[in-house]
This record gives sequence, C-alpha cells and structure tokens, in this order.
Amino acid sequence: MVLLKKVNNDYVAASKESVVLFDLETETDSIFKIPEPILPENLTKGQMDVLKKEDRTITSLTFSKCEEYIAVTTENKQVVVFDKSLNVIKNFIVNRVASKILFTAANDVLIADKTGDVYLYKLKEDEPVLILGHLSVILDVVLSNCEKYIITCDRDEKIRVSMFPNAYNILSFCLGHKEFVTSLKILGNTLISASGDGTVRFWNYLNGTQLGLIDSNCNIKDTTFIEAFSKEMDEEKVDVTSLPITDMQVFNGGNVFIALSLYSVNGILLYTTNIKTFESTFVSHILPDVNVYGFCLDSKLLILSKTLYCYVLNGDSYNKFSSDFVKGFAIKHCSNLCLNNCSSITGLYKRKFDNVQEYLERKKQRLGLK
Amino acid sequence: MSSEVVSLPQKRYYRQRAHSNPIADHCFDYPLTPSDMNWEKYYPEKVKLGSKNNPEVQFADIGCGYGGLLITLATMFPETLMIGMEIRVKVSDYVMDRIAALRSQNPNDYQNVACLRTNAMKYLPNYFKKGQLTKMFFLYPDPHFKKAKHKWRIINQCLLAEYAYVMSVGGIIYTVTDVKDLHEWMVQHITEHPLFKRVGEDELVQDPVVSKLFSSSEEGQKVTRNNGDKFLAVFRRISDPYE
Repeated sequence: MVLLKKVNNDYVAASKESVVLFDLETETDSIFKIPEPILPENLTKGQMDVLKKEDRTITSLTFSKCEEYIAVTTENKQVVVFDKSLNVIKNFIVNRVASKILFTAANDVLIADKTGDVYLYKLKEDEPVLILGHLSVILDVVLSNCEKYIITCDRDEKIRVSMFPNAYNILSFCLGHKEFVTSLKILGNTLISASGDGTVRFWNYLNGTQLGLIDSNCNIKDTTFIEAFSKEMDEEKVDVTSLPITDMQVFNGGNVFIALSLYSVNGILLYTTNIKTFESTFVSHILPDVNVYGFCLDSKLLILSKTLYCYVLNGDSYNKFSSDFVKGFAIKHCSNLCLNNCSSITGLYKRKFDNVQEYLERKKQRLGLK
Repeated sequence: MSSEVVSLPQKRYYRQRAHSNPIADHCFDYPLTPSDMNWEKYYPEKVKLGSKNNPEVQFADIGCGYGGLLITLATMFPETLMIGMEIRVKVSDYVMDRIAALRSQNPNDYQNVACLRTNAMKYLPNYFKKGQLTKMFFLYPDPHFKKAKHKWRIINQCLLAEYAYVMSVGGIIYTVTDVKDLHEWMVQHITEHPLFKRVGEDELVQDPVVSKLFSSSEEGQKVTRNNGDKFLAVFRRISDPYE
C-alpha cells in the first residue's frame, strides 16, 4: 500500500525516500526528502543496524492534530518530524522498526513497534517512556478524541483499550475478530476495526461490547480471488476462508462512509453505516478494474494507482472529477510512489504447528501396550 | 460407564524440558471471548452448559507444572473453581490425567480443579473477564537468565497490566522462586506497578495458602531436597491510585 494521509486540504503521500505534499484546492505540490539519520556517539546495536541498512522505505506517516507537523517512520528505524514548510523539527533513531506513529494533542509522539511495544516520546525530552506492550506486532494505535484512552490492536486478533497515558490500567478488550486486526478508527464513542478475517466490527470500546459487523467478503461476487488466496496460503499450511482487509478509511459527513481495500481485489468497497443501529449498507465497488496502491476518504475520495483518481461527495454519493493538476500529479509522482510490500500481510497469519497430535498418538500406543 | 478406578499417572512418561518459547506460534485452541469458553468440559460436576448460576474460575495457577499446588488447594477450597495453565504438552497432559485419576479415586473431591494447555502470556483475556480472578500463582517460573530473554519472563512490566485486568481489586498474586535474581526482578516490577501493593509479613502469617506454597509443588519439593533457597513475595491488586 501507499501511505496517503489528509488534513484539511493538505495531502501527504510516501514516495520512496520522500514525502509528497499536495493541495488540490491551490493546486500546489512539494517534496520533502527524508534527511540522513543523525547517529549518536555511543551506538547501540539497533543504531548500528541503521548504519548498515539501505532501505529507508516509509513505514508510517501521520499529521499532528494542530495540522502543523508531519511525522514519518522508516524501515531503517529513523523517525523524522517536520512542519508544513518542510523544516525538520526532530530527526532521531529508535531501537526497533516502528509500525505506527501518532501525535497526541500536545504534539508528543507515540510510536508502536514491530515487537509490540508502544513508546511515548515527549518532544522536549530525549528518553522515551514505555507505556504498554503486546506480545506480537502492533498493527494500529489510536487515541480517543478526549485522549483519555489509547487503543491498540495486534496480530493476535486482540484490540486492547487502556487508559492514557496510564496504560498499565486496561479498561477493556474488544474480542471477536478471528484474525489479525489491521486498522482502527474512532467515531465519537464508537470504535471501528478491520481485520484479516474480512470483517469490520463496531464496538463500545468502554466495555468491549460488539455493536455491529460488516462482512466485506459478501460483496465480492467473484470467488476466484478467495480461491486463489486460499490455495496460496494452503501451501503454507494456513487455513484461510476470507480475504483480509488491508486498509480502512472512515468519514462522517452526515452519513458515515466506510471505504475498504481487500487483499488481491482491485478497487475500493464503499459502505454507509447507520451509527445508531450499526446497520451497514453496501454502496458500490469503485474502480473494480484498478489495482489500488492507496486511498484516502473524507469529503473527497482519492485513490492512488498508476494514476490519481478523485471523487467528491455530493449528497449521498461520491462523484468523479478531474483537473489538469490531478492529471499532472499522476505523471509527476505516481511512478515514484513507494509500494509497501503488501504480500507481507501473508506473514501475519499463524502457521500451524501441531505438537499435540503426535504426542497423543504415542501415548495411545503406550497405553495400548500395557 | 466403567466403574474401574483410574490409577494415577506415572511421571516418567511425562517428563519434558523446562523451557518453552512463549512468543512462538504454537497451535492452541482458545475461546474468542470468555463467554465462548466451555468450562463444563473441565468441571462437569460444577458447571452445566446453559445454567445461569454457574460458578466462575477464581484461582489461576500460571505455569502450574505437575499440579501439586492445585491438588493441595482443591480440598482446602472445595467450593472454589481453580485452573492450572501450562504451556508444555506432556506436563499439562500429566496434570489432566492426574486430576482424572484423583476424581475417580475420590468421587466427591477434586471436581473444582482442572488444567488446560495454553500460553497464559497471550491468552488470559480470552479466558477471563475483567476482575474475575481472586488469586493468581506464579510458582518457580522459568528464570530466562539471559538478558535478551528477560521479556519472556512471565512477570514483566507490560504483562502485569494484563494480570491486573483479569484480577479483582483485593485479589492476591503469589510468587515463589529459588532464583534470587528472579525474585528481585519480580519484586521490583510488581512493586513498581501502580495496581499492586506488596503484602507484609504480618499478614502472610494469617494466610493459610502461604505455607502450602513451599511444600506442595513438585518444583518446591525438589528445591527442598537440594536444601536450596525459596523466595516468596505476595502482592495485592489495588485500585488505580491515579484514576
């Protein structure tokens, strides 16, 4: 996937070792090149790895709530915070590859890493604070709007709701997903999650109650995709019955819209949800012939592919529009957009490794011999 | 139904090395949520599927080993459901066979104890609701001596949050080890956690469970035979002082 984020009219997209900033209203764009890492004098092992590592692909990208700052994390363990005028505010190294970065309202930075820990980096202090830890990679982290709660999800089907910043105090677990949880969104008092099991679930995150569900795979009429994926995973001894959701975007514009991308399926699935009854309606399968690299949903729906597709919300539906800037953007930037290795999603499934059956067989023989 | 009394399992068939990687993917069956758990399978005389008045598990022995503590506690707290959680295949199977044999030999006892094979570091919230447990036991946990493996230790800063979650306020955590370094590590981490407070010596004397911790587990008996040290530390789950 290509990382694409939006605040107000500003978009940011990850492009190789750069970030492209663009604005569809003023039709302007600029490129921020990730600066070289600054390495401290007494190198730790993690920092040594940075020196060796050539891959500076962006792993996570975010805007601050005040809309002034942008933060990125890279495959070589670098974290860079810069402002919209492209001035570097902070450039530092973390000990483990970050999977997700997030700003707090105070412009502190939360970084979740691939071993399952979440650290809080205060802008004015050098030493981070470990605030919580999972035993598997954290795939997403969000804060409630009031910032009283931090919500994390991992490869082990779990969504954990903890107090913030006192995350030693767990409020609830939202359990029900049958595979890894890929994405979390907050909508008022409701949490929305998307998973490798192909479902979107709505939760009262204060007590972990599930309120509603969308099974996205019901809206893929053509079964060849799931059959192919199932066969591919079968060779790795993983039993897969649904196509995983790779990304989810949510927009509340009177109606609540939910947009999903599914592994190996072209285009975007669009739904509306009644946030009182949590009943969802399938709206359409947008661009079913286009291999989507990344997308972004609010009053506009932007879809990045070999070119850039734009839609604007008009009443109840998103209508396509284009402009010279949009066309020009595609020519200038789309070929450079960095594709995160999407096949890495297959690594999130658990391999079967049965050491019980064999033992029980031997035991049966032993008891039979007596 | 067979009326034959089952004999106790022999430990020599169930020996297994003491270590297991808690981060690796093992094949476990675990419930999606605590309400999906079929406890009737484990406590057939105490829990009936569909009944509204089923008792809930209150004690959990994490890494219960060969089950010595559970067997002792079973008759001390006959009305309390307790579960041993053990990751090693053969060892957990031994405990299951041992309980089955004890139930068969003593038809009215041991209906309140059971053992299941799981990874307690990963799946506690799948089995227990918030605040469900009143006692948790960590007896002779794997010391994971190497510094790089300290995060595999069953007591660590991050996992304590999960233990606090499944425990009720007032609930008790018992830790025992023969490794001084691990004892100090556990005391430091649990003491630093805002949701736990160490229980003083004067109170420990009143607790009938404490004396059993040293003698009842197989691991404890081994240390006694070797005249080794045993270090005990007990903590109470308290409410969040900063909430």
